[in-house]
Amino acid sequence: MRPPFADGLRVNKVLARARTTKAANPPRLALRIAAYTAVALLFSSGATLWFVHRNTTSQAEKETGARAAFVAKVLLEEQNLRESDFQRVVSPTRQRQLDALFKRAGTLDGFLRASLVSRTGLVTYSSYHGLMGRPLATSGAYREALGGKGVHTVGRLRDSFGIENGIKVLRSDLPIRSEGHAHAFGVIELAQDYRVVSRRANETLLPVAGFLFLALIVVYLSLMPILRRVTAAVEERNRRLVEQAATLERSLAAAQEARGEAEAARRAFAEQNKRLRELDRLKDEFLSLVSHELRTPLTSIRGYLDLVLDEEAGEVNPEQRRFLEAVERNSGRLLRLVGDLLFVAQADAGRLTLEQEQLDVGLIAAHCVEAASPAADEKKIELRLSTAPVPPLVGDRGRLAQVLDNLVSNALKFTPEGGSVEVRTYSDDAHVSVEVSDTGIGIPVADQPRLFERFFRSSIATDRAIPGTGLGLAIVKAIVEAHGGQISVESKEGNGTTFRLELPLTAESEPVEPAEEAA
Amino acid sequence: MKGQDGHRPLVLVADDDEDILQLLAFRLEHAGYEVVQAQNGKQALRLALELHPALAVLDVMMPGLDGYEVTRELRRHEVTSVMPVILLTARAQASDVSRGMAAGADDYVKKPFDARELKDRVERLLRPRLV
Repeated sequence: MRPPFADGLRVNKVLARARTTKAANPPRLALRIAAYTAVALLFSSGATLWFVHRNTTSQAEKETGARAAFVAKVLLEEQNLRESDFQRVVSPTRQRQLDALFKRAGTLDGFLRASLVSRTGLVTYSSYHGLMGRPLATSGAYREALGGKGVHTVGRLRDSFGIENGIKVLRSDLPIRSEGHAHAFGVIELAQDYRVVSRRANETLLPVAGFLFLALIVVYLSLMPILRRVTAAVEERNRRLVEQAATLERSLAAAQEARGEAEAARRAFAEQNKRLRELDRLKDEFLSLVSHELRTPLTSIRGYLDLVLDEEAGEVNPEQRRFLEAVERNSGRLLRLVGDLLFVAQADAGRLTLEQEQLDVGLIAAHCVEAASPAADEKKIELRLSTAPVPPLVGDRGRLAQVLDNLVSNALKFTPEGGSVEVRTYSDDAHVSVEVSDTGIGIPVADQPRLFERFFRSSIATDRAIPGTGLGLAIVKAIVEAHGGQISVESKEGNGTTFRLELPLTAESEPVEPAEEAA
Repeated sequence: MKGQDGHRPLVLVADDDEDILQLLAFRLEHAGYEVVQAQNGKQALRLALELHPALAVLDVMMPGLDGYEVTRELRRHEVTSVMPVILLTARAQASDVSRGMAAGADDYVKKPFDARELKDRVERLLRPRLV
């Protein structure tokens, strides 16, 4: 058997764990959600900024380069550059002219230097004279430009060895060709300070960044209420969970208590049951004891009395016989009383079992009247029987005879000399009825309700010292009710009494069992 | 009453109440039987096995071995297995009667007994019969 309330303990632990975790969660959860949201927003805006920056920069580069190309075109269109300028390193004279020419290019934002490169990659002229006569060491851009399309690259300014190690520049390699030629005969390379590009890019980027920042704040702020709502909802849910846990705990405790109570009640009930069984057993024992202990001396008394009356021990003179017959009569009464007591006790215990046999109540009544006739004659009471034929019913012949005997002997007892007693039987569809009426002294109305109680004796009987035990009618009632019937009384003081019993034709009485002996 | 061989049949009576025992003995002796008395169940059993009586009248409620137990024991021994047994009982309720019959008794007589009734039953059981 498992230990009591093991389930309860386990559930309790789970509930306790749930309660502590859920209670600690809400503030941490709110912070975490806020942090996640902030990180996500920052990341996405960073990515946006980077993307915008890249685009604006490349846009700025394009614009700057385009402007450079425009300047170069202007210079070219003014015919200040010649094809020969790209074929070999220019002469000092030409160099000076070109210096002057490119000074004009100084109007170009952040202009640093201009170089002319031949098709073979030789720098034929550079506003930075240190580069002149040297091959353009690192850049492949000019070769691409030779293909006929301007190329913008980002790099570093070259030193006198052609190595890029100066400040960051935007370099525009622009092909130069004469009218009607497909191929460029050289490349003009313009270098601009990259800060121009940066500045231009930033000009676009800064407002975007500002806007983005503002948007970020607005979005974050507008997220806060949602966040609060979500947090509040979570908190509310947690609170409800905790409440539910508490309720569960309470009902669990109540259930345990109820279980305890039920267990206690069950135990008490079992205990009571045991006591009742014990009582029942004691009652049985008592009945058995009374039966034995009272009957044993009575057996001796009556046995030896019979012996004497049978004159087995010598002659008995008439006076002795009269006295001994009084003893016999009274021992007989005592015996009946013992029988009646046992009978009532059995009926009380629900142990009254009846034989189930087909019987004719009319016949039983006739026998009863016949048996009572001598006693009636003796008291000069007219005892009449008026029976209509009644249908047979199922019951206990001996017990029903006992009922009628009791009623008739009662009637005779309470009827003065010269009166009459009548026994009537009749029937309807459902019942057989028997009436025993007398012209006797009657029963006071006040006594009638208690008439069938055990040991109850009407005042009218005790006043007149009419003998009786007060058990007869109780026995009558028990037997009639065991047959599923009813008994009633009608009486007026000084005007006689009528007992009426009704027995159902379809007896719903107890199962078939041999009758028990009690009297 | 004489048996077929001229002897008076021997009847065993057992009751723990001395007065009733004497009464039974007196009544049965006057009815023509030879009577042997036992004051308890154990004695009744011993006498029955020793003397092989023609019939036994046993009180049910006796200390030690009661009437049922004596009857059962008698039925287990060959010499007394078919000996008629009458039980005397103060409680002749259905359950008592059926218990007695189950133990192997042939008849029962209710206490207080009627001398003539007892005599009739003893006589009936001692009539020659097929065993």
